[in-house]
Amino acid sequence: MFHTETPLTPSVGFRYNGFRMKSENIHQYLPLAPASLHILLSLTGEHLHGYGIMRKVTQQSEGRLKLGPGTLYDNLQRLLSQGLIMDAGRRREDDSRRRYYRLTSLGKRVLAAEIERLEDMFATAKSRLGGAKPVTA
Amino acid sequence: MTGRRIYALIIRLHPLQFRQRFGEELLATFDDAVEDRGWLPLFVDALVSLLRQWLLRSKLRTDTERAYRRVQYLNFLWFTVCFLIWATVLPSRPSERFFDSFILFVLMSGLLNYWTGSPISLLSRIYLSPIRLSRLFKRSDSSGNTTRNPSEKKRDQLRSFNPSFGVILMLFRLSRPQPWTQFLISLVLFTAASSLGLFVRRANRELADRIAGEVPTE
Repeated sequence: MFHTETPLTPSVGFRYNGFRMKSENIHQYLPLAPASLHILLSLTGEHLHGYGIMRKVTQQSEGRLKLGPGTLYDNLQRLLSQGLIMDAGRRREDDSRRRYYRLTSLGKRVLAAEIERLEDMFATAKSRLGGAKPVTA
Repeated sequence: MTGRRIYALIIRLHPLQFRQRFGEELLATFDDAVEDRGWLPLFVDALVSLLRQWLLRSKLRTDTERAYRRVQYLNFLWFTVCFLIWATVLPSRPSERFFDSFILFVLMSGLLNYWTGSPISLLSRIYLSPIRLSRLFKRSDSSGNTTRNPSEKKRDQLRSFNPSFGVILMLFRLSRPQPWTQFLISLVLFTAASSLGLFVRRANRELADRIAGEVPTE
């Protein structure tokens, strides 16, 4: 029924879409740097431009992490090259210099894996420190 | 306004690919953030980003950018050889030799910079740099519309680069009566410079074709 001897013709059934093939090994992206984690987290709900991401990161970290534009775009460059986020284009009603970014499906999976990793770490830490009592004078 | 100009200058010092892709957005984000954060933290952040881009992000640069660097080095090599040839056929008086060398250095590096956009020669960048690589790669104006095709312009400039310039100058110098030995040495050097010049020209053309193949369609 299946002709496994016949080699597949790569030109049939494939279309080059401008994106590199990404490895499915999600764990190669882990652990995420704090700035990258916050950027991915900020893009889960909506598409945001650079300044929007900066504000969202500040808001979700309760002011503890303030990304500068240089750090932000350095991280965006890396996340784009890894395929974790993608350019969602410009919007007519907005400043034409602004580009919006959105999370890719790979980015969502990596973010989920990172959250899971942090939860495991948190559970381990909690179980080890659970018996310990604070030292009192 | 001055702060914005300084910030734009820092952006211009970033690697080509980063500047080309994120330069406008960085400046727009700076405009938005400067009122909340103040300019000092943003400058510090930009300087840190500059160092990080040059020291840590070389793997993210494109092949075209690497090819462009290689051709720049070739252009510089060719220029150096032509300069050395020129130095061998200069008049014997040391004072004239130094003066001629200096004038020719400025002139040739300026013309090379004009034709190739090569940022190698600092002297030419100071005195004669009407066309800069960064301007050629600028994609769009402030309203987001593509005003010209930078790759085409760059390609045309690379095509028009004529490495025989130094050789023509050399012939001009050689038209003066010279001793036979000096003439023979110059002839050998002339052949070497021509061969290297042709090689450099071919490298420039290949790069131009490569850039033309990556013309942005938007």
